[in-house]
Amino acid sequence: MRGLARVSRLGMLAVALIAAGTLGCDVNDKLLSATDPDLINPSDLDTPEGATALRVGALRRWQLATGGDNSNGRESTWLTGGLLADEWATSSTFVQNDELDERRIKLDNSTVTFDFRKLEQVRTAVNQALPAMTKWRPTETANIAELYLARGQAEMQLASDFCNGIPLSDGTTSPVTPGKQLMVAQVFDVAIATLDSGLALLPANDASDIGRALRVIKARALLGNAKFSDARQTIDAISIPTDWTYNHTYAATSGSNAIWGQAMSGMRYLVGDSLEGNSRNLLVKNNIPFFSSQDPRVPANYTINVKNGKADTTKSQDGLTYARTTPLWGQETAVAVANGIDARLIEAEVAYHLDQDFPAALAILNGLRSAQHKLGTITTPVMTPLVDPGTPDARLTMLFREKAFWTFSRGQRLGDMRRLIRQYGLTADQVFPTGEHYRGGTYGTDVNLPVPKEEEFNNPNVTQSCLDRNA
Amino acid sequence: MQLRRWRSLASSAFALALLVGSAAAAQAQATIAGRVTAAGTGEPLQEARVILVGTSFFGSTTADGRYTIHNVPAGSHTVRVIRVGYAEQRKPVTVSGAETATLDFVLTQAVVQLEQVVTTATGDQLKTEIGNAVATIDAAKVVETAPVSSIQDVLASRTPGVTVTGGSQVGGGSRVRIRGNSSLSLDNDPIYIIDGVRMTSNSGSTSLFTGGATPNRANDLSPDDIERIEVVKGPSAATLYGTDAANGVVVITTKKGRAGAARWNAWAEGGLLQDNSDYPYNYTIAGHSPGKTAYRECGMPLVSSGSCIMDSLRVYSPFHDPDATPIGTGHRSKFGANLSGGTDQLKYFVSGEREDEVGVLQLPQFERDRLNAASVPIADNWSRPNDQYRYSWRANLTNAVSPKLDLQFNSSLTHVDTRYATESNATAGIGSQIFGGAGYQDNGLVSGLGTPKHGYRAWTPGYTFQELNEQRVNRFIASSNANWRPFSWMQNRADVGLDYANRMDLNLDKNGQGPPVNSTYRLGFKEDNRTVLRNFTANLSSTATFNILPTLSSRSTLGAQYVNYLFDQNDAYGGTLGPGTQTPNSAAIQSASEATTISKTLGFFAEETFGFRDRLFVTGAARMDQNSAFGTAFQHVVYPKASVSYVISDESYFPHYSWVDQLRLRAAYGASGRQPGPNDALRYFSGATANLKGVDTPGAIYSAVGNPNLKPERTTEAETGLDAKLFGRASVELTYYSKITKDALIEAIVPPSAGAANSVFENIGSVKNAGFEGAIFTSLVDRPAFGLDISINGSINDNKLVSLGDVDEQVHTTWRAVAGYPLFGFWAQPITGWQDKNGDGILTHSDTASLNEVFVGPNEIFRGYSSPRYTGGLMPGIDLFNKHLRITSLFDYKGGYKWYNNTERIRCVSRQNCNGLMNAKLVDGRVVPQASFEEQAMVVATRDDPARTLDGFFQPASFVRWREFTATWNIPNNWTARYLRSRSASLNFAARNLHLWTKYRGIDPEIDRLAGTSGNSPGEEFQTLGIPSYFTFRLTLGF
Repeated sequence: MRGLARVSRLGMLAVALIAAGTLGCDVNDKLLSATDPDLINPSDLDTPEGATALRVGALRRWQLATGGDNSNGRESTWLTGGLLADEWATSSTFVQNDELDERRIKLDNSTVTFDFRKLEQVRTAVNQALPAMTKWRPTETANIAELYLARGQAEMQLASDFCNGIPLSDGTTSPVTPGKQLMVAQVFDVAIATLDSGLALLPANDASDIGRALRVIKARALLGNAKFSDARQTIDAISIPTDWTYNHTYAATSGSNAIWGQAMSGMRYLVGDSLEGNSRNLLVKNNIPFFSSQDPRVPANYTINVKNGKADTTKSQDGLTYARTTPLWGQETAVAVANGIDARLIEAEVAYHLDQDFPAALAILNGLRSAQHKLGTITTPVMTPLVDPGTPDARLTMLFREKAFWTFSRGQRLGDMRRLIRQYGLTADQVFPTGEHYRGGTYGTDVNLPVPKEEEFNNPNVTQSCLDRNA
Repeated sequence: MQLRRWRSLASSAFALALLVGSAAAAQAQATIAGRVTAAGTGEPLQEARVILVGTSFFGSTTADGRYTIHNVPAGSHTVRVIRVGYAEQRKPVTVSGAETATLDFVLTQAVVQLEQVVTTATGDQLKTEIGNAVATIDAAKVVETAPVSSIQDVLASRTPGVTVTGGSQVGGGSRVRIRGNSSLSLDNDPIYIIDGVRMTSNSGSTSLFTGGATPNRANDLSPDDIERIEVVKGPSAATLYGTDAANGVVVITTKKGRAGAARWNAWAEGGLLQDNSDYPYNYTIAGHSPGKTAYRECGMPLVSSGSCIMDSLRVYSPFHDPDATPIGTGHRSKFGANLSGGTDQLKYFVSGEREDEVGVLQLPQFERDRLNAASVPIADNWSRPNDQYRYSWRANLTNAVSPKLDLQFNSSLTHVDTRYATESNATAGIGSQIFGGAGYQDNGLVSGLGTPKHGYRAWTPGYTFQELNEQRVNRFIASSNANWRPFSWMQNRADVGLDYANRMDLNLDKNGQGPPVNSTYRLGFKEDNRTVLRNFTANLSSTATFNILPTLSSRSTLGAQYVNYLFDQNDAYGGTLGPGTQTPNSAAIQSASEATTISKTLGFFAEETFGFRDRLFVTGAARMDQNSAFGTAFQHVVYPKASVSYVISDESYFPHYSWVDQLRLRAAYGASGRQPGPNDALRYFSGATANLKGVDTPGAIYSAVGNPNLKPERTTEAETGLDAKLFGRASVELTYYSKITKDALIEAIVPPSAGAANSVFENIGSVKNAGFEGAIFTSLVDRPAFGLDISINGSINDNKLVSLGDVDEQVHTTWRAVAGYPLFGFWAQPITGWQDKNGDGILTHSDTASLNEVFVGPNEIFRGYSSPRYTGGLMPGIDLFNKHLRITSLFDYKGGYKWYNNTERIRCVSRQNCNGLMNAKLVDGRVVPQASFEEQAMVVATRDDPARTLDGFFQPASFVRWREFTATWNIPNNWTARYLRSRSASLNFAARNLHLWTKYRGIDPEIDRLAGTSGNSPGEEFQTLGIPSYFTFRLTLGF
């Protein structure tokens, strides 16, 4: 009996405590609600203002994939592609950059993974902004066309820089819809279709900045697939003045020009050269001597420090390598995503390749040299005309060398070097740097950026990072 | 509607219970009082706990050994007395009416004992009643004798199953792991409870970038304020602490007042810090190309290939140059006092302390000379870039309002000001510069500034130290605890507390100062980041204790807990400062940001313990939690718990061997969890600014994929073990545990091609930890004049990622998450061998197999644990001179793991100054490598082999460290009274980190540059300075 009484007391205690626990407590909402002001709910963007915010966000993603993103290790392919090619040499302390410069890129190279994700993020951001803009701001056709331009350029850049086997997944769905691996040529075709969608929104023969940019980028994509005639047709459909440019602009407040930030400011990238090593005793085969040629389109110098009566060649961020810097960009200098020079160079290549008319190509090249042009912070002087070297090989070299100087570090060189292999029959050993690398090893064999291992491991449609590593 | 009805019913029942209880309380009740003294000496024993068995009543003895327990119900009772250092004693007593029964106790000293009271989620409990292993650290004693400066120092090496790894800078936090890593994607740190309320213990600070050392908020507290620390090791014990407790709980009890006359304790401590690490030299092979004379530098493989002809070996390191080294002697001092006293009704404890510690980093002499020559005044932070000041005040009050109600108020105010040098992974950090320099002193000038580099890589300490990284924290922790015992069988507890920290992170580089990292760095910048970290806790519980039958007792607890955490940050940044300015608003480029994190948990729990004849205790419990971070599709989680504790040696059937004094068997099972991050469940966008045609324009970018089904990780643990007292002088504690984390949160990588966030949390993984823990304490000799004792502890942990669900293995640079292998284990293509085929003593790589001399396996395979599997501690102690002098040591062992020597990796790959690449001598015109083949192979495999494997830099890291040495002289009382006019006095010499025995090739296998971060990647040594040794003297006086 006594035990029972105690058990009943226990029961009362339980009831009492549950009461105490619940009195005054609205167990659910108030006590557990947590609103974080940092976040934007997707539903908050389903408005006209939200559509604009998504559009601007997509353009932000795009800026980061071209001349932006100054975070070490997150540089865009405009820089990293230039390392793999011959535009830049590494002077950072990151092994990822060593791998790129030495043409021995591991599949888990984190910078390359960032690059790949960054370009794909442009696609997804555009794909999120497009329906919002179509729904809430359908009359802003130029802005919508610009979104297609952003996506098309990103797709074109993916095809230019990465190996065969590029998936284009749909990241707007939840969960994401994984894409299948596409060959480079297929990705160029995707880019062309995207750019056509943009053009379709504009009046026929529209010659606005966006219309011109859509055509120049499309022509580059067409060149990627060796559709020279289509490329010419695309360019020639409208007037594209040589000094016209479609820029990405940068500001210290919202993000500096990363080509300046990584090269001139941080001295993590050196202007590429055919003579490497501080004592300039390593001849790197195939490299264009961007540094030592003293070409006015890529002005470059050693940074010399003179103080207290001592002079010293400034060392780069690695503390070892003499800094070879170019003043081509400043902290807030805009970069040209597409410009009239690109159009002329496309015309020159089409003339050379399709028409087999090198004099016509040379005339275009010399036309560029005959006038001053604004490139970044500089205005190029009138330059001496080129003379026909006479042989097919030398003509090809001249054409692409000219293009390399005019488009320095604008995301074109790696794609062009790959095309030299793909479309002009050269071998990798005739195009890419080879021999002893100034850091002590030798150059490897890579000719493109790999689809990252993270894709292989997390996309069920991807069986191996690259279907092949061919150019 | 239903809730309202339920509340109404509950309120009625509560009122009824109070009425019934009041009626019971109206009966006449007795008092038991008495005195507790020590056998032999008759000395009164203070702080003995006197417990009325089977009730919620207990008392503590005053300074004269007296105790009183009021309101004792009429009838027969058993009174139990326990006190640390004495054998437990029980006596029966019968009381009737309103009488006062006198019951005195004379306790005999025990060499060891198992009976202790431990703090649990449901209140204080006898350790014998609990089925789990709970480690108790007598922090007050540790602090008085050992050279510790933080809570994490107190935790290190004293408890089996607890590992603490730290950085090297003063004020740097540590990684604390209890029974291994359980979570792949969430942090694996334990939570901290102080005086009943949740204490903020965040690691790191995103706004304080030092490249390495970052603080941990747990270390803000002064160890001198702590009475004891209990380490609740796993979910089987931590269930009732709820979601977040799966990694264990560190329960801190601060010092409280003791009844009696006012007692002052004052202490002063001073000492030195020295870095005795064996730092490597930098090597450079000077040579020239064949047929040329121009100077060039080249590694051994190029010499071997003939591409470079070696002329000489150049060897240098600023570490070894007294004029250039940034390593000096640090110092430390501490002054403090506390006051304790009061009456049975009101007891107080008040303390104050000032502590400062200056790390070993200093401005090298050559930089002082340079600045002095230029008449540039040397600022304090340039001179000593790493130091910490801490001011602590505490006031704790205990008020026995009535025999039925105790109130406790605890409050502390702390100010911590810490200055860190940039180091480790900072581009301009001191480690990057000093480990990365050339093998000669005259290696050129600092970029753009024209001052000599003096063997440093790019920038010298005079520039590096100009950048100020400082954190100032003002922290207020307050809690109030109420114990209300309306009836003899009922105890109600309420804890309400607030931990409020105001943190200010400052990063200042004045115009014209700092290293020329890039072209804007020396234009100056200031970042002023202010954060409020607030943790509010409210606990409410009620415990009923009574004897259902004479042989069967019951202890029932119901409770609720609410924890509300807020992180609220504002950041102001200004770039390009004007000369002399140092505020963000005076800068040319200004930006501001805000960040908020909110996490709220509401939990209810119930626990029932049945005790059979005071020797068998069976406990069952459950806790239900809701949390603001759970996904919208997931509402609550329930964690069960059960345990058995059996003092089997009290049974008559137990064979009574003379050498077995007591044997307790225990087993426990329980579950707990880890909640996801507050926003991990959400799909959201973030604000971002794009510059469109020269105009900064706000936009939104897709930031998180989100997972509406997100729920907490759930860790269940079973443990079993025994506690034994043997031979009257030894105690043994053995535990086996096995815990499995299910619904483990995996940071599943989103395919990059999706163009979304990098990852999304999914509850798909499973992680297992199992292991043994053991501890032995034995008093080998215990005589009045001399004593000798040894404590040994050890642990084994077996960690395995059981499953990743349907997610593929997660690949990172140094580690992989692969089912069947340990979390954060190192993976690499293995170096399988080497052969000096051409006999030149230099190993090289060749793409031609017949010429290749270093062999690397084709696949990445598991290369080893990245955290210790085996730990051990050996603590001998000797008492001399009638036990007035006590000498102790602590030897710490950790083994079964590898450590990433990333310092040497970057020296070989990027700096080109490491031993394996460059250390060769010219002997009679012949190149003779000084580096072993193994050292060369490491380099070739990571530099030249296409695999670029890191295998050689994952290095065996087992070590034994002579962690502590202490000598404490307790000055005889008659001396202190005569010469110091004090009640007591002790003089202590202590040393920490005296010596290291290891085969690890790097600086120190305990250096972890990631120690202060909450990240989950393996620790690593990366351009990190060594762990300093401490040598301190402490004088403690009692008045």
